[in-house]
Amino acid sequence: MFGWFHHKKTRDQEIDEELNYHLDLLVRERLEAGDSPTQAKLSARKRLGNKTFDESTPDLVVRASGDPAALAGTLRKTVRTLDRTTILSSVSTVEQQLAEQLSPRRFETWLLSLFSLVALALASLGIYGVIHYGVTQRTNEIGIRMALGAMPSDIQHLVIGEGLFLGAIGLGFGLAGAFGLTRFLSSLLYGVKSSDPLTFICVSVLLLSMAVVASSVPARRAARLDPMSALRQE
Amino acid sequence: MPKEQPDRLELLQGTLEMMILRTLLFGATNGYQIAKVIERMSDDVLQVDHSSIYPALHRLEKKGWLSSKWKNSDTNRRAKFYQLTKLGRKQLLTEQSKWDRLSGAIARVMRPA
Repeated sequence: MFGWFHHKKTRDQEIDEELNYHLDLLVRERLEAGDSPTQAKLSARKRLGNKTFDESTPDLVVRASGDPAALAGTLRKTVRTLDRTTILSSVSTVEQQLAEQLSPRRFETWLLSLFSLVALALASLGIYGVIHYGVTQRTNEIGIRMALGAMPSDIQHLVIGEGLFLGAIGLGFGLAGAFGLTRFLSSLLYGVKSSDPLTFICVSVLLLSMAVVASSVPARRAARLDPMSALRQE
Repeated sequence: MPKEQPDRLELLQGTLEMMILRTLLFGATNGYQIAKVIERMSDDVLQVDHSSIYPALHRLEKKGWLSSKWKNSDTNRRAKFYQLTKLGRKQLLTEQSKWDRLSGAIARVMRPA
């Protein structure tokens, strides 16, 4: 499907280029026969069946000081006095051109960022849920540890360590998958390789710190447990 | 350059591709020349819609009857030059004999001896 579309597009582009060349030759032929430029263009277009196609029109780049948009009217008038048959269409500033060309890229990037934010939020929520569940399950064990002299900070480290462990396992799978799959993203990247080490390190640090943050909430709860009531819970 | 003539004839369906193959028998050339040659050879009777030549050329190329090459023209513009392939020559022979039989038959119906 995509290949067909691509083929059709290049075929149409080729025909447009051929038609443009043909139009030029016809115009030249009429000019040599003594037609005025307007007449020559009209009859050349008629020989091509007045078919509309993507005509290659010359671009005019103007360097301006001050407000470039205010220049449009003056430019139009100047071009018209130079050649009555030429009209100036679609005047835009370089900024507008750039924004227009970049807008699909911008949207793709925005969408991908949104997806990864959602993924990060889901992962944090998952770690929080699992650790929280683990802490409630092990209330009794935590009570025993505290009764035997474990400090609240020890309990906190224990629980956070568990969250980090889960995060590290996930990170391992994630990195392996990323190394394998990012090359499919390479067409979206500019100025950075798909296996950019800095990106991988930053993302790993971010993910691990999210794991710490997500598990620190149940960890603090576990550290505040009263050993006596924890021991009594069965 | 001849004047626009009111008694020009529209092309019969399917005859454009046949005539394109015939004009290319003279050698490789571009769409503009093909249109000119067809008009000149028909003493400017046949009305060729120049824009229909290029889709036809691409159809013929897809069937393998033509090969093409982009070349720079004298004005340093890119122009596509088409050339008959071996298969195209064979196709031209087939169409030529088909056309002879068809036009002969139509002539006999329209003007019985």
